[in-house]
Amino acid sequence: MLIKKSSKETIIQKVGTAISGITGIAYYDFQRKYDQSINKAKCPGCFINDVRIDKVQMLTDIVRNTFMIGIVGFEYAEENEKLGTIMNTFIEQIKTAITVDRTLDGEAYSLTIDVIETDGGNRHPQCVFAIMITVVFYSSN
Amino acid sequence: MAQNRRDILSELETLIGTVTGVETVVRTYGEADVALNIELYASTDLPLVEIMEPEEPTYEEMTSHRALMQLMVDLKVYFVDWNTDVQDSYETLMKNLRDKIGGDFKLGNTTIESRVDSISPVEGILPLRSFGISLELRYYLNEKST
Repeated sequence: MLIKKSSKETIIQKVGTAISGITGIAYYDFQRKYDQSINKAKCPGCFINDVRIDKVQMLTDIVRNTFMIGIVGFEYAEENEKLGTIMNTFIEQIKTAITVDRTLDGEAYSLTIDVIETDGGNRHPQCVFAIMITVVFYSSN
Repeated sequence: MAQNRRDILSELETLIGTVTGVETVVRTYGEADVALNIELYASTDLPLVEIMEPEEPTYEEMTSHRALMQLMVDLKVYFVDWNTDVQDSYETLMKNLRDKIGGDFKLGNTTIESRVDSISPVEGILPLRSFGISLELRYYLNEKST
């Protein structure tokens, strides 16, 4: 497998592209916080936010980056639906979508899911969760 | 034939500079792991061969003759490969170096014996890899100060 240099912007776009392929997803955006604009029409949806990046200089023109990305997801359940089940299904869909190709088309060296936190799915009819992932990739600077 | 470490190491540096694929040859002095700051080099400078300044034990005291000396030279070879499997590029570079050094047994008549003692497996993380080569070089001690 041939890995190439990439950039933070490309990596986060690739994660967005992977998530956008999830069947039934209504909305996704970048660099947003959970706010009042979330409504039923945007569910299931998520924000893909960059959290932190650590750099190690390997050569003058090769830098190894450890990039943490936070995915904040939200889902909605009707009166007769189980919110927890719907949330878990959406989390599984995201996990599957982002781990199908952990190199993100050769842009990344690795992609790992570090932690998944949820509100328990018991605040009917809406739920929110966060998935923290770490992507290692190389760049020129 | 009197010989000395200055000429040997200089000849070795010149010889390694002619190895196919090698871009840079650097001689370093000091602790092996800290002597060379590889992060100060660009990928176009690699493959880079570091010649660490060797110890120089006496191999044999020869009665009524000069001492037979031995230089234990460690080389560290850095190269860049963006493939996750680097076996091919490692083998090619390693064999080029081994054959060039092994093909000049007297190292341009600066030694009486020059041979590759051992070669380490490749190590490092993508894309910067390295491996070591240990050489044994023997020569008759020059009576002149070198």
